[in-house]
Amino acid sequence: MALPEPDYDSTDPAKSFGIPSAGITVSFGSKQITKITDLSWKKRGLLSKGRSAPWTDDAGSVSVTFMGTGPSANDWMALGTLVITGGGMDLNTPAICGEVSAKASLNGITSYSVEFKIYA
Amino acid sequence: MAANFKTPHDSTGTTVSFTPNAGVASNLTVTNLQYSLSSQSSSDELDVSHLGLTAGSQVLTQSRPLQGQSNGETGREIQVDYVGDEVFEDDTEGTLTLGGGINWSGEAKVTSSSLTLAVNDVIRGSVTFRIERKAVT
Repeated sequence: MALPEPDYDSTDPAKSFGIPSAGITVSFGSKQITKITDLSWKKRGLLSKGRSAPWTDDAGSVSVTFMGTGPSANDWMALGTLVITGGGMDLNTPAICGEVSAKASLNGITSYSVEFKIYA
Repeated sequence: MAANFKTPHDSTGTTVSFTPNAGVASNLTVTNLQYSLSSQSSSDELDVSHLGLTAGSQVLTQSRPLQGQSNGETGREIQVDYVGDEVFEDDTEGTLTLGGGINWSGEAKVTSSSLTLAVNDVIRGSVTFRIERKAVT
């Protein structure tokens, strides 16, 4: 006799303990970033430097690691609209493409990382 | 009332036999068996799932660029403790067959074995098999 299955269904929001990190899409300008394995963003992380009003020179950044298509090094300093949907990660903001890096793994697959600076 | 069906923790009825490629089969009187084997090809697969998959999707896998030898080892092991004086020579290859609580049969190689003789006890042995990859045909 099989053991009873745990009362957990990742597709049923009523039985989930958090938002599933799934179904996430990311685009930058006209480019779709595909096969994303890691995604994070932060906004306005520094304390205010303004004297008369809250102000910072760091609007935030977005880091994306992916295995498929996305920005290349030629997109460095390109300005576009970064749109993230799904997985509770929704964000729609102007951004500048910063560092693009690639990493090859022995007996693995090559992955790419790109960091965007939020421009707002 | 005791249930008359097999429960997951009931290991009674387990049988283990090892037939060397050249030699006589051994049927062991098993006292303990540790089994770790999910998939013989799992070590050759990469998990390439990504955040674009929707919840409930199947995990995506892709073959590694490099493959192990077709007759190489999987790295998975089965350790058997038994009562008896059966001696297993290291590096002996053959067919290992498990029955009863679990049913599995495959190519295996003896990687270590030991016998213990103690006062006022029966002779006890322990043998560890490493599972080999089935030949690709």
